[in-house]
Amino acid sequence: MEADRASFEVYVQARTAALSRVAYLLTGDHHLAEDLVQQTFLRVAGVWQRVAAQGDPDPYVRRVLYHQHVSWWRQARRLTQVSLSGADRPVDDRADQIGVTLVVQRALAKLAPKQRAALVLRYFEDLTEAQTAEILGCRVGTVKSQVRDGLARLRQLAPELADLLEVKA
Amino acid sequence: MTETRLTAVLTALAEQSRPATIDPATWRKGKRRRRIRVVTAVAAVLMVIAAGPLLLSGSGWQSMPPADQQRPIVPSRVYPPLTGEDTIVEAPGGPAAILVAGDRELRGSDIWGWEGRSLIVGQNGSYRLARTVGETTAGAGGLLLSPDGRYLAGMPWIEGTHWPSSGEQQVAIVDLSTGKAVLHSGGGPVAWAPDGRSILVEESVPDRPQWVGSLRLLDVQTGELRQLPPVNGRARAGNYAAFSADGARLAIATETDLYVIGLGDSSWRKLATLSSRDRIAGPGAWLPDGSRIAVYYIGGCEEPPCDETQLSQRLFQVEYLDAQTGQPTAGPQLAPAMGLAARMLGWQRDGDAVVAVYSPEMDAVRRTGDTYWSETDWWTVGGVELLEFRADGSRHRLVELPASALFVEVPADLLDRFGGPSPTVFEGAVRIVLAVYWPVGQVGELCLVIVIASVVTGWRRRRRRQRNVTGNEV
Repeated sequence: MEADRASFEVYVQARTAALSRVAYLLTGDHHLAEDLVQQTFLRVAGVWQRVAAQGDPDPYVRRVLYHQHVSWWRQARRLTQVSLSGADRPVDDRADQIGVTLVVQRALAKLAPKQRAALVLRYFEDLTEAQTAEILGCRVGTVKSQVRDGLARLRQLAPELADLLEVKA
Repeated sequence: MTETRLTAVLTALAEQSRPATIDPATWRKGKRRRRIRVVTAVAAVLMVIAAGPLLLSGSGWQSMPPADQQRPIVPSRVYPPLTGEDTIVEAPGGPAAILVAGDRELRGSDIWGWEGRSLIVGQNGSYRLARTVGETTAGAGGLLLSPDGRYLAGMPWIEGTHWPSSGEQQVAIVDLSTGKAVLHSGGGPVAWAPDGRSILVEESVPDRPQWVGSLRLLDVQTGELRQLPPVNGRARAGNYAAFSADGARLAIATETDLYVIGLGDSSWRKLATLSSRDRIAGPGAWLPDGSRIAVYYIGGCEEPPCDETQLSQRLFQVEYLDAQTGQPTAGPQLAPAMGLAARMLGWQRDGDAVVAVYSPEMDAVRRTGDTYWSETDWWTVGGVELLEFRADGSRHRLVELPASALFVEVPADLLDRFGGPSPTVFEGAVRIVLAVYWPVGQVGELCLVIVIASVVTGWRRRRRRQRNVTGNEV
């Protein structure tokens, strides 16, 4: 029991920063991201013994994080109304790095959570479609359509990013 | 290249994130939340399991009544009782059409203090439980239905009665129309008289329980007792007495002799000698005209040791004794019954016999020297069928009983009225499904109680601990 607890705490220390980055991309808000990571670790703690016994806990933890995120959205739909820290800043039309980042951030916030999750998994976490499908608990075809629709929606929301978004879905 | 750009933008965006501050108590809180969720889920499942039968039984969702209430009919099929089925005391269902005792869902559970929960199907189609402290038989020395089905006789361990503190042997008579039970002195129940106004009771001798004790005729309305002539000898428990159809004579069988008692003048005489293979056929042994008494002759294993297979293949061939001379005589040629035991309930107007045929319990063995062995004991019997033996030699099942039925009793006045309506197929299916998980349900209900008690206790303990901590901090 104590060994399990120790390994859990080591894992938490090692992975908090990485998961916080993903959570921030998903929620677009520092506080919500923190809550999401905290809730994820709470759930994982309850089944840590089983998760750790399977080897690498990352896939399971990631799955919990993404599902928790979608679950929040379903329950309160509060994530659709997130206030982005950079949302009030003027967008730089020159599309420099900072400006692009802000535009993407704002546009991401307007996507459906599953689309956002699919894009983050594919283009931030650099997972394959199959891995993404496994984490989201859906078929590969669904991942493809979520990514395609997500990119299309981004293009619609931010036409200035057309060049950036010409990716192979 | 553009894919790389989107990735780069997302990475840049992610770099704006701040590492979450994780509560140091996450491990403890997570474990606790998990425990609560598991307990809640288990409790919910158990509640569903427990609530299903209770809801069904409490919703008034009962069997279809017979089409003609003035002419009660024994249903063609009896389904298992529900977990929370009403009892004859809680909600009297009126006169009975059939009584079934047995194992599993008909046995009950010591958890609730009732190990016997026999099923009574009313003449109005109602299902009611007759709960007893211990496992019980029906007909064979346990619960007995009066000829009209209105009264249930048994030892005073039926729900609604109390075992006499004096240790006096008594009989409990429960009025199934009112649920009221009355205790009478005189002994335990043996057989109802055909008119239903009196019942034969026996006060057994404590150190010789298998011997015929003191026989008395009890008037169930007045409680008046009438002592009958003594009969000496060992008897086969649950199957040794039969009233003639007119109620004027009573046949008593010991293991070696058959006696006839004249109830008008209390005369008695030995009618015939019985071998170890002879049995009085049952409470319906007298032929309707009173001229003959049916006796079963057992073929197959009678002398121990007998194993289950041998016990299940015994043949019970009906023979007839002249009620005046005791000599063998002719009678309806019925096919033999095959099984552990057979008990003739009575005769129909067309000359067919109604017989309960018992099969042995799994791994039942009759051992040499086992003087307490009884072929109609709850622990020996493993199944029962209610059959009609026709004069043409054929046999037909009269009522389809639950798989867990071990004993069956039908009021004597209804032996001509089989084939009545049963619950709907849907209700029957639900009853069968619920009966399948009967043992699980019982354990589940116990677990539910334990879980709720544990949760409440744990919650109170935590509250107390928190209060103490707060007090210490202050």
